[in-house]
Amino acid sequence: MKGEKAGAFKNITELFDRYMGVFFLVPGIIIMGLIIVYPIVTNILLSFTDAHLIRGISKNVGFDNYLRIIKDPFFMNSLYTTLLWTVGSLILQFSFGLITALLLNNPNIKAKGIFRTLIFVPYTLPIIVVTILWRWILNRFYGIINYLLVAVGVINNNVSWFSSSVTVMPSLVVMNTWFGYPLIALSIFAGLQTIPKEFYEVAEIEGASYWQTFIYVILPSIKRILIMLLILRTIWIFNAFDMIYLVTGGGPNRMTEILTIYGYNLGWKEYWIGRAAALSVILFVILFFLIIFYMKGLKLEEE
Amino acid sequence: MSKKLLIRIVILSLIVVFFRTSALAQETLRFWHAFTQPVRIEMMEKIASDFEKEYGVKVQIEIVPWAQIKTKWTAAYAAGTLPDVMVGLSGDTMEIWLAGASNPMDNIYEELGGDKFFTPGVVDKFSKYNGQLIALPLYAHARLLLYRADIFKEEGLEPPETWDELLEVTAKLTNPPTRYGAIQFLNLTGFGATECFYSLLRANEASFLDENFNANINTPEFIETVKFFVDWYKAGSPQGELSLDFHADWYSSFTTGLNMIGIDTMFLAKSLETENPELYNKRVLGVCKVPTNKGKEGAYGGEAISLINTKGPNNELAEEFIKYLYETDRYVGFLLTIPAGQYPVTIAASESERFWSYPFIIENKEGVQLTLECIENATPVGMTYGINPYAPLVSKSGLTERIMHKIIGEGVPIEEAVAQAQDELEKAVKELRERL
Repeated sequence: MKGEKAGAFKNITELFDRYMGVFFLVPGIIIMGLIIVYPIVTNILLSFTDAHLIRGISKNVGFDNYLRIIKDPFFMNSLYTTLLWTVGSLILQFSFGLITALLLNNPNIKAKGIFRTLIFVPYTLPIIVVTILWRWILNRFYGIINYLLVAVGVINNNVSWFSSSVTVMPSLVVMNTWFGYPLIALSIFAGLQTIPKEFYEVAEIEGASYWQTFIYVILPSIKRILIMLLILRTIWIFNAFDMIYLVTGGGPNRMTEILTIYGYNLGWKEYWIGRAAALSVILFVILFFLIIFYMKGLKLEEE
Repeated sequence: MSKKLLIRIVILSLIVVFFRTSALAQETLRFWHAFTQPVRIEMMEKIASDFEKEYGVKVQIEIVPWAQIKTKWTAAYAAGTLPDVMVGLSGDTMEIWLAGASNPMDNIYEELGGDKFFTPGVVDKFSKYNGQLIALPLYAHARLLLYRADIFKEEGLEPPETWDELLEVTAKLTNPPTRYGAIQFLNLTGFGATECFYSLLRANEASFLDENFNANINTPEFIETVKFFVDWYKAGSPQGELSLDFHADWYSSFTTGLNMIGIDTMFLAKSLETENPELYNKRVLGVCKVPTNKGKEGAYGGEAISLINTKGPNNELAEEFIKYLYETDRYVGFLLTIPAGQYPVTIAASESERFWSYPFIIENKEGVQLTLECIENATPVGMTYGINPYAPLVSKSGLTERIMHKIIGEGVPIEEAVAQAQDELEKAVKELRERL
């Protein structure tokens, strides 16, 4: 008996040893499942119902929510606005980020450590602080931008940057660029540090100009970083909500009503939670195909 | 220590923790309020502390700013973690009731003394829905026309009583870019335009919804009010300005002398005294009723901040706490944390010597008396004909702001913009009605 018990115990111990890794992973998987998979699945199921924020009982409506959204002219307006916001922000953030990274990488620049720290400050600020700050910077009456532009004679009268259809989106994009470009700059700068010096030496020996060095040495070396940043920043900017909502609320007259604000209004102001869930699924599908396009188009997979 | 002993200790500890936690849950009252000023926070903490001592329980306060009330209570309701008592605006009380997340408060009303306790009319106006009391008002206020009395005096102007007079003084006071007669705050972030516009709508005896709570926008009175608002904007605001936010920009524009007139509650008086005592002592704040359209008697825009008996775990304790808050001396003490901004809804408090002899109240007696007079005939946005579930479709949707953005920003004719808004509101009301 004792021998049998000892044998059984040995088997249990062996079992435990063999699958110990799995046992340690299970709690994490359960938690991940609860906080990621469960909300996603619930959201998808919700998108097929007429769920209401105030009146709880809902029924299945099939694809009705999706059709309503796609037929809604305000949805198309929001989609266009979101693309404008995303593309504009990406172009400026990457342009400034790349230029800043190249400057930081320049051996002739002194006190790089201090600049590196200062450059990153905007990205560390909470969004609410960024929006309050920029609302004051661009304030029609008290803003420093109007003051300087009037002082140097670029404009004669103060501009209301967030009121006009011409200036509201560019103003928001500039605000977003100021906030987001430091991450691009420092990520690219980190990538630049990994380029072996020999590459630059060979380029110099071959008589390459700075531009040729940039195109044939630097860009290929940091391509993977650029693509990953592009994917991540596209997702983050596309899904942004707070920065625009806190400044314009989606106005004036829906000119800055990006998809996330449109969805928020659907769910929290019009009470249609089911439709808001459907919109979030549509957003996910749009982003999913966008990322696939990036990866295939930029040949990341092959590499 | 042997394994068996260790296991026994662990099991015993778990049992103790379980019962202790259960006991604690029964003894804790959870109270949400939205009062973010330090003086009101302190007062609520003191009231809670006194209640704890008297009842031998714990009161857990959570401060939920007004803008977050909806997201917070809906999440709590879904999670089954509603507080026992919370404060809310009229729209909040309606939504919470419709969701089935609050208890009727008729019994508390009767226990307090009913119509012998509360100021006549105020409970019915702000808290009664389908014959039941879905909340109890804690305090009320009404909107007045506030103006820079010092500048009016300099310019030899009198406070306006009609719309024509209001347009006239606004135009006279406007001298861009350093001074504007009446800046309008049309940003979607603050709904300041909705509240200001509603006051004008009431002054013109018009409304967003009719007595059956159908969309009532495409009426001559409504269009007339929109026309006046646009004219007022043109007379007194920076042209093309659509992005100023009421909560962020009204106070600074008034105190710096950029803006001369606005529609607001007497909360501004207390803000002035606290944040700019020098200006306050110069008695720059003038008050009068919101001017009416010619020939109209008019009414007013107002609001009640109410107590809601939400479906938390401690209903009996919640009822005791609500009654505790209304005890006259304590209640007047709370009202005087923002004197002239918070108005009594009980008879005893309205007649309280302590309230009327408070120095700030005496200094601002004119505004206080005007507000109390206006409260009698004031309603929240969208609730001209009583509390209803459709009001948030006009008060919190940005409908007014979007009408103005179309007219002012895009040059859409007024009638067309109003007709579009009527269609939008009709559709929203219809959908909500089907749902209810």
